[in-house]
Amino acid sequence: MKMAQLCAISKKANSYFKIMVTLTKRIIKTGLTAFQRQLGLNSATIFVLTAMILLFTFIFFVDGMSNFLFNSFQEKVGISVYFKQDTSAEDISALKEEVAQKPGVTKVVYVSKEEALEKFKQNHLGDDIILKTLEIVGDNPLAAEIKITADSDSSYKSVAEFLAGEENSAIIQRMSYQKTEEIIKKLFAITREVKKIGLIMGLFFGLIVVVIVFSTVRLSIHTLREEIGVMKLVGASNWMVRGPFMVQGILCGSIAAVISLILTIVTTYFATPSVVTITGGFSLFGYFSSNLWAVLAIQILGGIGMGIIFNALAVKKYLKV
Amino acid sequence: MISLKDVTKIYYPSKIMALDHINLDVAKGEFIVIVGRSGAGKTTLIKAINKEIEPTSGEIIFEGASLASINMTELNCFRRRIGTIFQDYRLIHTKNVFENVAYAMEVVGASDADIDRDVPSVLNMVGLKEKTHSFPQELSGGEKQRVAIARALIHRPDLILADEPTANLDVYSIQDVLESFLKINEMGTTIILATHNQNVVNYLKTRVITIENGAIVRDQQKGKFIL
Repeated sequence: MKMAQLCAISKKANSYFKIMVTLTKRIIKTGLTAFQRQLGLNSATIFVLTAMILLFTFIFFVDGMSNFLFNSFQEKVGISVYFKQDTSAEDISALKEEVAQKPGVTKVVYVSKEEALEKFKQNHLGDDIILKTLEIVGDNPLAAEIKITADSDSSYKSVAEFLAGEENSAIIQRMSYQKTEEIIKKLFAITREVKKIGLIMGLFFGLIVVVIVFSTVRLSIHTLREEIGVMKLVGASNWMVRGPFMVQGILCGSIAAVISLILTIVTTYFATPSVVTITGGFSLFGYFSSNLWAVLAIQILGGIGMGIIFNALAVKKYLKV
Repeated sequence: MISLKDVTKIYYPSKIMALDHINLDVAKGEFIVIVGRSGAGKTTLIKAINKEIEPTSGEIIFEGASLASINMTELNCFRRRIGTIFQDYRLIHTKNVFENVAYAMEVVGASDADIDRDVPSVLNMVGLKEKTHSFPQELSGGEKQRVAIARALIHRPDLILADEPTANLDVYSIQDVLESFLKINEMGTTIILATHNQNVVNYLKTRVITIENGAIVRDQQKGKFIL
């Protein structure tokens, strides 16, 4: 009899499908039993997986918060265009639409003369001299304006060049770009550098945590290497050996994901008021709610995925018996 | 059933020759006892047949196929046809007695009903009915030995490799185990048993192969233990 026929003999009593169903049931049952019996080892795995998931969630929130802060700064240093007194609302509206179509422009806000005056009065409420001066002047001395926000310093430059063109000189009194050009350039340079450093640090710490988690999983499986060897010597297939460890990985990953999710909900909920105050408006809980699927993907898929992959990789080393 | 052709095993870096050009043919249904002093090469021979170790040179042929050329799937299937009793028991410490014995049936794809029927019966045969739910660390050496024997016999393998299977058993248990081996052998199972116990050899009265320094020095049909 040839060796190729050996497998057929071991399966003679059952159909292939029946064997697969039985095998899957046994793998799940064995995995669940082993999880229960090795709760100490699995607790360590759950702990490090939770730490890993929380780190990646933290990086996700830091990314959201830094984007919010950079956008806030960019809005503050955007281009303000002031129009001549006799410019009609239609001309301003037409220019506003044209600017909004320019590449890189993210926001264009129109502030009418009346709105500008109202805001000026609000800002100087209680300053009698200024308010009396306004009364003496009689007419509204303030100009209508549009505030432009763009996504890069080069976008700002091209918008500023467009606005400085001769065709707009008839309606534009002045714009702030000449004063803020250097600030815009510096801000975007800092933004780029900070994002680059953030990415490198995120990857670095992510890698460290992944290595720590994998080492913990490998160590817990290393203690069972003799058992794995015996299973192989008895004739167990690689899946029969690896399967229960992967089931344990799924359980550890799921529990770590649930713990991480609860901690994220609690932390974002209670930290939101402080973070809003510090950042000037960034709501952690609001960001969490609006990115719920992304957070769930990081936590559930990350936890279960890492649990399965790390266990499968750690067992692989001991299957060559 | 099994042929060893010029099989040599050298352990590195000590360069100890554990098997020295072994040539051996084992027919289907045969009962062979391998004897020799400690360190003679009995365990290495068992390990080589089970493909736990690779020979340095030579070839082991099982039912016409060379073990050197089989892939992982074929190796698993080959091992499912063997019941091995290891000198150091090799029980799975995270499983209880029932589960350890049942595992050998699970790997061959036996149904739950067969497992629930056969495992208690074999555990009863080796006298471990009361220890069904005990874990290996709660058992004595002799009890572990009997679990290992039960695991090797449970799936009715074509070949049993037994390395010192009676080493930790009392006189009565030894007789029971040997009787079981003889009965299984009568039903057609090939058995290769390594021992240095003279009483075991004399009780079995089967073919005896004597190994010294890794080489076969005597091959006696229904022989007696001579050292």
